[in-house]
Amino acid sequence: MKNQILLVGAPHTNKLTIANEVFNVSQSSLKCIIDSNNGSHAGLTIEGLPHETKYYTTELGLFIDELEDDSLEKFEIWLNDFKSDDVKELRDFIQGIVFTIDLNASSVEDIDKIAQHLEQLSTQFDDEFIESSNKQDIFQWDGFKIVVGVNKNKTGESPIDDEKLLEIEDTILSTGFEFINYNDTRETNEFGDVFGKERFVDIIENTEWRELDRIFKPMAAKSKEEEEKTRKELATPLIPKDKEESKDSEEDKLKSIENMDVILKKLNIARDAVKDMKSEEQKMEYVDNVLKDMFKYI
Amino acid sequence: MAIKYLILLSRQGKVRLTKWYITLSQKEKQRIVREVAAMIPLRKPKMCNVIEHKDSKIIYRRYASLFFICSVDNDDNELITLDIIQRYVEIMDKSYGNVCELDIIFNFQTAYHVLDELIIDGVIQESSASEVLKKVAQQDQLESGESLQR
Repeated sequence: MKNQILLVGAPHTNKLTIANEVFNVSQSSLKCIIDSNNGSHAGLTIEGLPHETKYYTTELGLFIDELEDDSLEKFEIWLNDFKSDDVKELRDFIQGIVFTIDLNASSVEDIDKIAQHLEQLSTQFDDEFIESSNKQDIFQWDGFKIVVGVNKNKTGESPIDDEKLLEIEDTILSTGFEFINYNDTRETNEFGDVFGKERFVDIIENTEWRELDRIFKPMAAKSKEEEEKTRKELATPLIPKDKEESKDSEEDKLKSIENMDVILKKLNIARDAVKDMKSEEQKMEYVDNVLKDMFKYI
Repeated sequence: MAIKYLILLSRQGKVRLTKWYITLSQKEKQRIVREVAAMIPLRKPKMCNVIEHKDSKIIYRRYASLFFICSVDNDDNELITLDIIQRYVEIMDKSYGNVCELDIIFNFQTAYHVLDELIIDGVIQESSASEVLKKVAQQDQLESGESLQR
C-alpha cells in the first residue's frame, strides 16, 4: 500500500478531527483503533480509506503520530529523529506529510525556529526522491507537505490575529510547506482560492497518487445519423465554393438523376416495343425517334 | 513578441504543464523550472505580476490553485502576455467545462491541444476563442471516429 500520509502533531491539535472530516474515517472506527492502541493517539495506522475523484479511485492510508506535548523542544526532537537515516524507509514510503500546530500555543518566534527544520526536511524529501527516481526530469518530491494550524482556544472561539496568521503563513511558505488555517471558513475569493478544510481536500484530490485506478469514460456509441454527420463534415471541402455556384450544382445534380431515371425507363419501354416490330425499316425509324427524344434529357 | 516558455505551477510548487518555445537542453529546462518554482508560489496576491528575471521578464497570473507563468523578452508587452494567459484560461474553461487543477493533471492532452491551437512558436496565432474551440472539437471528433473504427 503506497498512498500513505503521515499526520503528526501535539496533543489536541485536531488530528483525529482531520482524519474524520478530511479522510472520512468514522468516529466508531477511530474509537476502535484508539482503544486497540491502549487509548494513545501515537502510532495509529489506518488503512484502506477510499478516495474518489472524477478521474481516479484509490485507497489512502494514514499514519498518525502524537508528540508528547505542545512544546517547541519536543517538536524539534521529533523532527530531528524523522530526518535521521534510521527513518529513511518511512520517508520514502509516505506521499504526504501533515503537521498540526495549535495557533494559540505557538508564537511567531516558535514557528520561525520550526521553519528551519521544515525547510531542511523539505529539501531532504526532494533530494532523496530525485536520487531514488530513475527519471531525469524530476526535481521535487511527488508528495505534499502541509502545516495545519488549528485554533484550540479553550476559553472560546476568539479568532487568531490576522497579522499573526499572515506572518506564520509567510514563514511556512518559504520552507516549501503550505500553510492551512483549518478553522478558516472564508468562501472562495476573487482568485478562486478555497480555504480551510476545503483546501486540504483540494490538495488530496490533486495529488498524483503512486497507486490509483484511472477512470476512463467509455466512448459514447454514436448513432448512424451522428456518424453520417461526422463523415459529411470531414468531407467538407477546405475551400468553400461560392454560394450560387454550389446551389446551382445541387439543382443540376438532382435534375440529372431524374433525367437518368426517365432515360432508363424510356429505353426499357423502347426495347419492349422493338421486339414486337416485324420489319427492319419500322424498327430503325422507331429507334431514331426514341434517340431524338432522349437527347432532350442528356 | 514571442513567449519563450509557458509553465503551469500549483501552489504546492508542482509542475502541471510546460511548453517551451525556445531550444533548451533538459538541464537548462530543469534549472528554469526550479528557479520559477522557488520564486512564484511565494508571491503574495497583491504583488506585481511582472518580474524581471535575468535577461527576460516573467509574467504570471494566478487562477485558483494554479500559477500561469510566461517568459518574454524585456522589450515585449506584459499586458498582451497577461491577456494571452487570460484567453488561454477562458478557452480551457469552455473546453473542459469549469476547468480545475484536477482536469489539467489527469486530462492534460486537452490543455496542450488548446495551447497548440492558440500559440505557435510563442506567438498567438488564433485570437478567436470560438475558432480554437471549433478546431479542438473537430479533432476530437476525428480521434473518436478513428477509435470507433478500430
